[in-house]
Amino acid sequence: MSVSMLPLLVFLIPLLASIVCLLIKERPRLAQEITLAACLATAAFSLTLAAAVLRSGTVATELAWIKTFGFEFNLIVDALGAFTVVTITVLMAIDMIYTRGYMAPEEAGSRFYGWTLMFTAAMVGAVMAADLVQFYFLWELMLIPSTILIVYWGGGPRPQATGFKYFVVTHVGAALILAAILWILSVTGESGIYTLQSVLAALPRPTLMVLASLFTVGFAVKMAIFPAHVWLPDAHSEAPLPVSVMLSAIMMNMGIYGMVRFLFTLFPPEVSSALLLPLLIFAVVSQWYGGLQALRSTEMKRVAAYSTISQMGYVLVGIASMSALGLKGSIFHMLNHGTAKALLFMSIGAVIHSTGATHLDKVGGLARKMPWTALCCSVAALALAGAPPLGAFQSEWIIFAGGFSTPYTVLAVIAVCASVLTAFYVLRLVAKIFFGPEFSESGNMSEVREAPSSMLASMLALSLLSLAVGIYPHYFHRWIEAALNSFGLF
Amino acid sequence: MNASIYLAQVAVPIGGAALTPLVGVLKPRLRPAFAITIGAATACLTVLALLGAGAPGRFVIPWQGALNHFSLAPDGLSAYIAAVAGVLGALILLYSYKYMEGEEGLTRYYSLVLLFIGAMIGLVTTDNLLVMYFFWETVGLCSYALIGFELHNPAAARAGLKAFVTTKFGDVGLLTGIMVLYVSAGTFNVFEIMEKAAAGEIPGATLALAGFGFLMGAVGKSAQVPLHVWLPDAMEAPTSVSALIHAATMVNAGVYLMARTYPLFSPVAGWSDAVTWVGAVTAFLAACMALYARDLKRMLAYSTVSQLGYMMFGIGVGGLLASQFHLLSHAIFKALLFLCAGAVIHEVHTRDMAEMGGLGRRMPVTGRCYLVGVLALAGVPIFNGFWSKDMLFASALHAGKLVPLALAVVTAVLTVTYSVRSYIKVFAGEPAPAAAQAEEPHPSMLFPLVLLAAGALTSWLIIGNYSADLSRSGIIHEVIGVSALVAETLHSTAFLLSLAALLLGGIMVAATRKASLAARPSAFGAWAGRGFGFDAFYLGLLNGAYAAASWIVTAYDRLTDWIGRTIITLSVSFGRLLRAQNVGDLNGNLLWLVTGVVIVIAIVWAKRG
Repeated sequence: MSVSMLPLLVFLIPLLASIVCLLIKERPRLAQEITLAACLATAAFSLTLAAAVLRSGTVATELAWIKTFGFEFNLIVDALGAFTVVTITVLMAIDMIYTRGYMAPEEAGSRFYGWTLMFTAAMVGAVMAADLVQFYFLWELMLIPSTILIVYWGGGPRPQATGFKYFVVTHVGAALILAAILWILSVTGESGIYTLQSVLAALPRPTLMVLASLFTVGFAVKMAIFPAHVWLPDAHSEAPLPVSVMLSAIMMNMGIYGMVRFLFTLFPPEVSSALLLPLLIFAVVSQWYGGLQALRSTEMKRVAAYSTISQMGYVLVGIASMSALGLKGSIFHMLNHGTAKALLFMSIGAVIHSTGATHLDKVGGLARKMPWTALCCSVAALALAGAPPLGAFQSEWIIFAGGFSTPYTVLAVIAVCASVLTAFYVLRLVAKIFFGPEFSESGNMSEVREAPSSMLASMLALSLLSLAVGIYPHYFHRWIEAALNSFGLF
Repeated sequence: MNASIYLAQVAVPIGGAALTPLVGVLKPRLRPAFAITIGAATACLTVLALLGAGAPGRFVIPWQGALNHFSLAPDGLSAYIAAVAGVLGALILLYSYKYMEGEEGLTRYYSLVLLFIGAMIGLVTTDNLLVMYFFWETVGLCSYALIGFELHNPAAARAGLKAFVTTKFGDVGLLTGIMVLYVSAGTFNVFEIMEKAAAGEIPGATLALAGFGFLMGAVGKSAQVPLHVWLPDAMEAPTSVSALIHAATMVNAGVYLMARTYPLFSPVAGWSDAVTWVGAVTAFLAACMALYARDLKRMLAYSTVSQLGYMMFGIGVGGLLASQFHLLSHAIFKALLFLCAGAVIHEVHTRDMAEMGGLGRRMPVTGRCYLVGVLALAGVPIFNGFWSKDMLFASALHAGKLVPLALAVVTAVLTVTYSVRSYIKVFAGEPAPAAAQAEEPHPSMLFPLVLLAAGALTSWLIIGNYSADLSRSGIIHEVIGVSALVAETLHSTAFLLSLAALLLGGIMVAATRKASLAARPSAFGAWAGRGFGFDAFYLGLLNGAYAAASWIVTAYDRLTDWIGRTIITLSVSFGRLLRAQNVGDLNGNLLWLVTGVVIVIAIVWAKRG
């Protein structure tokens, strides 16, 4: 099989499996198996794809025959795309293993799996898209299954309202992206993401500034940067747990990818550099806003959801620094935040699964009953707090170094200080759930058991991943360096 | 010396930590033996590395892509601290065998202690600031997890959280310092940074920011005022852990860091004075707090804070050798005191000194070892604490910093008082009811005590080798032999100060001999007993900041909710307005149609005209 077919496989496997799952409405158990198999296969192929990309630079799929139908469909994967795709597909596969323990297939229904797979396909497709229009199409496709998952499977008092808010607010972001894309198309007539830079460089500076700002704000909405974060807390905390993982740990990477890709592949450096200060300010505000809200929340999932806003602030600090250093940290943080946040949500899910409690004050002292969950939750918390030898440390310091390479040392110091806040709220979460005297308001303590093995296995896998990255990050650094080289800016 | 030994002394304990859970699953009974074996191997490796400390050697592997390498390169300064961590670690693992027997969660305990030992050795033996920070945070993590070792104890969980967050606050300064140095110098290698700074390639403002940032990190880690509040609470940890982490090794990291970076930051204006004052004030305040503590372990913790203050003070006045030598003395005698205290608490099941008494008869060996520790802490001649404390005073005299020196001498008086008094309260007199059944601990616990007591008596004899090894690290330049040390000490003004402090302390002990711990303390005593209100102040500050921040974020959320609702209300009412036109009312529709047509015709007419 030719290497150039790999991107297509990574896109088509989840898409086709999704259609199958949506069709076999009566057989949820089969749908569950298909989904897991598809996710594992996608992850395996994306790893193969990444290996090929690291060997040869870029892998592209060009479907010449499709041109006879009047449009183009090309996929291009470079080192940055490969890193994002691998992060998405691996985390998705682990999430699906977790879901086996968390939800019975009958309870979830075939369609749950179908929409999940379509969500995956849209995400990897958008990352690999070679063309602006194709990117936008897949970007919008991503929104639909995720909204359906929130509205029809979500908890909370008003899932429709939550889904509606999610759809409308992120759609505002998408509209800005669309505006920028249409503008580019009308001015240049060119739509290849990887060929546009030279064309765009000829445009007047003010036009470029407006275009760059449109893209940046559009992707910042997806990253839930303050003040565009309003869609996130409800959506991430009221979605069913496996979907919370998909949204918080996986989909957030799309915003990061988009911002990095569009700011640095399309625009000359001096244009993106002009955004440094405003982005840095919003990044720091997001860090602190998310952290403070996480500290105030008593609902476990909401703590994790607000923590995502704060962590996206960290990522934006790296991007805003407009330096190779900061960008490296931000890209690396996709994987490390994804791992830690997935792990945090999953261990919270294990607690909810075992005790039925959703609030921090309703349980306590679970460490003896659920030692493995306690361990995994501590790993997640410490990773988010930036403690070595866990993965997030390895990206956080680079982000901060990026911050200090800007002229705004004071802002960088405020950004670093946010890590104290982070340590406080995550460790408070762990202490409240797992330490102290045992109690559970919602049920009999003797009935509380450790989570099922498939949930534990996925949690332990993520813990080990975080540990491995934290102890020896060298190869990931090499990978991201390759990604940065492909920009050719630094 | 082969560089691989440098890797081995870090990798062996960390590997042991990783394997402990496996042992715990296969043969839980073997966990202590496994940990002791690994600990002993590590101790041997650190001693071997120490003996070869003069020989240059460096272990390097690629670690973070093009950004940074992982390197270990011990020198004299670090080799001694690594050896303390290795040897004390092994002794404390041996002590833990009986001390922790029957506790729940031993896998966690042994694994974390081994990880701590490895990380501590890594912290001091690397020449790379980021690698150092990596281990710096790792030891903090072990400390956090071991303070909260008793899972069901909410006080332990709170203390762990407090320790982590408070030291993290200091670490913000340290990380900031490392980052600005990196961005400016382009390297994490501390020696290269020093070279660049000496060549004037690093701007003064950057050095100043980094210097005070590093100081902040050291203040957090070494529990200096105002970030000392975590250490007394950290006494919720098992006493073996308190001895290892919170007395003999981790808390020294800040002092070590200050010594390591002294050549870099001493030219920064105000830096030395800041270090001096932080140290002197800490030494004094913590000694006052120790004076009024009833809890044996808390008293020892305040004493640790106070002694760490001495070491900082020593660095501030330029007495690096004195400071590092006091670090070595203190590690030995304070570990000894903690281990004795642990043996006592293990027997009497209380930490309140008022409930103890007369234990010297029931536990003679423990009592004598404790007495050796007390004499070393008080600075009685011949014991190791005397020599190093005297060197500290001499350095301050030499530097002419008399006001902080006065604080340090007053501290010495207080130290004599609280330390001797603690011995009297715990070991002298008639056995208290709680002590009636107490027995001498198991030999595996006594052995470390006796060995450390011997160390507290004799460790100062190695000053010749010690100063020679340290001088090769390029930071400390004094080399002094034992006979010279004795001669200089006896002829110095500092010796008089030490003797005066001992005398005054003795008088204070005699004067307050009758006072019961249970009696109502004076107003000052009550204030000192509450830690001078630092905790209350921080709590108030946190609550205030929390309330203010809550108000802001809530107000913002209300605003966005209101905007969202307004948009929805507006669009719904607009929809209602339109809906009213679509109810199939033919007359109404026709009216609108005709109106529209008339308007269109009017516009066309007007345009044409």
